[in-house]
Amino acid sequence: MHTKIKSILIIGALLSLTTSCFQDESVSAPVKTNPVSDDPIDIYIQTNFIDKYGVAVRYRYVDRYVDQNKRVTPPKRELVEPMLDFLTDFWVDPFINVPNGRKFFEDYVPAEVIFIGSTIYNADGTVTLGTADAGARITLSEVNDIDITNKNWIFRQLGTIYHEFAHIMHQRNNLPPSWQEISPQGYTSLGSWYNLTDEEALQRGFVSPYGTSTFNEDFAEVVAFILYKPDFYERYINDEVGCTTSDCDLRNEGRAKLRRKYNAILSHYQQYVGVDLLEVRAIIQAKL
Amino acid sequence: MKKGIYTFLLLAAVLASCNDSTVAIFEKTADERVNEAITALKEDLTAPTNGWKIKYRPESGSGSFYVFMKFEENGSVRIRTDLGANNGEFFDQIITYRVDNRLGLELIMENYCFFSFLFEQDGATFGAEFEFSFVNKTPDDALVFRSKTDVSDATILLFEEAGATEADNTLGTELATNLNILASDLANFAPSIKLTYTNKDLLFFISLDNFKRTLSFTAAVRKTNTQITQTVNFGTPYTIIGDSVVFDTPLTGTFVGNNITIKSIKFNTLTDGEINVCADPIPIHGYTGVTSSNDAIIIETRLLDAKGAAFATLSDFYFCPLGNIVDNGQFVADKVAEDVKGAQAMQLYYNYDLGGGPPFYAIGFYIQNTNGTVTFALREFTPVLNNNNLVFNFAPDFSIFGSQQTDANIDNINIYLDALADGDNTYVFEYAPNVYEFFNPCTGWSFVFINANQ
Repeated sequence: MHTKIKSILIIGALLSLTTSCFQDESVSAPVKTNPVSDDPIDIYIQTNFIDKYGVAVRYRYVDRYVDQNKRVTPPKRELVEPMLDFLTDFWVDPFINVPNGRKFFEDYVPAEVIFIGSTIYNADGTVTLGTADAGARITLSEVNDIDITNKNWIFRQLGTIYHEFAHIMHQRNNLPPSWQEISPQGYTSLGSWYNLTDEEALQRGFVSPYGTSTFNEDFAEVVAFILYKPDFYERYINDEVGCTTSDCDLRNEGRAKLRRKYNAILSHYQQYVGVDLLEVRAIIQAKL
Repeated sequence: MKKGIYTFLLLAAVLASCNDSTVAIFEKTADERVNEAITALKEDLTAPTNGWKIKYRPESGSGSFYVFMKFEENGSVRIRTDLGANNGEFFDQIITYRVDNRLGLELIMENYCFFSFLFEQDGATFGAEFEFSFVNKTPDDALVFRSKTDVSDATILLFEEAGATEADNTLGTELATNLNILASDLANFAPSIKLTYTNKDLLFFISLDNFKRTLSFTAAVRKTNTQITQTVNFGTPYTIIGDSVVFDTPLTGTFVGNNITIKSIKFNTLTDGEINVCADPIPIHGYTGVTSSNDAIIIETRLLDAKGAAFATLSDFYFCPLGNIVDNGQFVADKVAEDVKGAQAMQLYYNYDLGGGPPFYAIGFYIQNTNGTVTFALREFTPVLNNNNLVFNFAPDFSIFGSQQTDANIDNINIYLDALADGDNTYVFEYAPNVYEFFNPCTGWSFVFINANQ
């Protein structure tokens, strides 16, 4: 009897517990909507980037787009459209105008591009030119310095864009086979790549000191250099003839490794996305 | 048994006592309340017919700017200032703003503007800001904001309702423009300006920082006998109001026999002048004015810097990173690195003790060779220092110290030494304590050397 009463009490308590509060509480929450902007710049971005390729270009300052230890300024309003045109000219058009390029671009383009007006000032007094986050976002700095007659500015921007775009390729499709075996001794220890000179990097089989930092950075650097460096073949592929110094011999040894990387990258893009990077390069070089 | 029944009744009573009215502390959702707060602040910002007036001091040691802002409901804001940089770009700007909520309500200037220009000064270490946290609304309806990005000693901004013509009457755009013109006459980093009393036997050497809005008085000199000088160590932030520069701290004292007080200077006319030390005259400017004590003055750009010559006694060794070499306003570190392979920095030995023998005077480059060795490629010289004009009198050849084998083309070093010393027109200006600008007005090149013994 005792047990029976106890059971009834427990059941009663549970019933009470489950029914006494918030009988009509609903879990449905209102859906948040953002009003459509009538700002001409926003309309331009919507039409030419979001609707076409699904990439949102952020030019209004939002601090969470930048590491909180870094200091940056927003872009000038009047320079946003010229910068968008620059992206169209040197990034979108070269890819979508080669066979299979449009699909590749649409599939691989990151979801967001962030415009920063200034350079990215680091706490230690150094500066950063651009960054990418897990293939989802590319951050471009120095938009306020836009000058399409200034080759240095153009090369800095293109170096960032193509480099970060290349990261998405290996994130989706891995590195080319045996990539890690081409110049395994040439990579630097963590955080020490900046102690190398360009010359030393080349002798090790890399296009830049930064490329020696990891396999992935090596891949991204070579892709970027293939696309935008006007003297790519002279500097990184074709051997110097008649070497009379050990430095010259070492540079040619580095070039032999870079030729393997170059061929591996071209094959990788052909195999996985059907894009001939040399056709892309030809379009870019014609614009420079 | 009874105990069980009591427990049950108590539990049932507790649970039954829950109801919506006691749990739903807020009648609206968090999003609704945030949106209401944002809307309310935006309504406050857009309310004044003539917008807001702010007296803005970016950091504690700087001067102040009057800023007038008119916020619109469509998210745009018109910002009017008298910051004369970039050819008046910041006199009148329309950008977009956003009222946001993070840890509290925030006001964000979304595009590059007056605030972000100041934020970027000195490698983004100058204490300006373009993101503000809302603090409160005062009883007289002013709005108080605090810098969101100042690490310490956060700047407070008080938004006060502006009068109909207050911006026009307060902003000194013409004065700011003229001061910029004057300070840019010689295209160097540390312009030296002479302030001459027209009714007294007195002139001051001053330096002016147009962006930080600070003034420094470095020396007082008798006009009739320039050998009679007095060192002055006075600096003050200032504010521009209309046609006047108003000192935060008045200059008061007796200088080479003159009792002087300056609280402000009202400026009148920008005049043309020239300096004749190069093959072609260098156009410069003068600016006439009247001090708050009703003394007529004129300020003019000058090559003479009373403190510049002090480099010779301060230290015997200076260095100049490649990033401190400037050709007519253009930084040329990349070109230097290309011309002088492995160059790390310039070095200046001035009255240096090599351990016996005559004092060592030399200037050149410190070079890191690819084989790990180091070369010092220096031109020795016999100096003649006349005030702040340094004449080098170079030895004909380079002296090579360290590794005699170097990757660098030594002859190319002369490109830079010629740019520095051409026509014996090197003038030394104090840029900051222990930092000196070696400037040649005829070539337009600047080399900023740092005291290495500090």
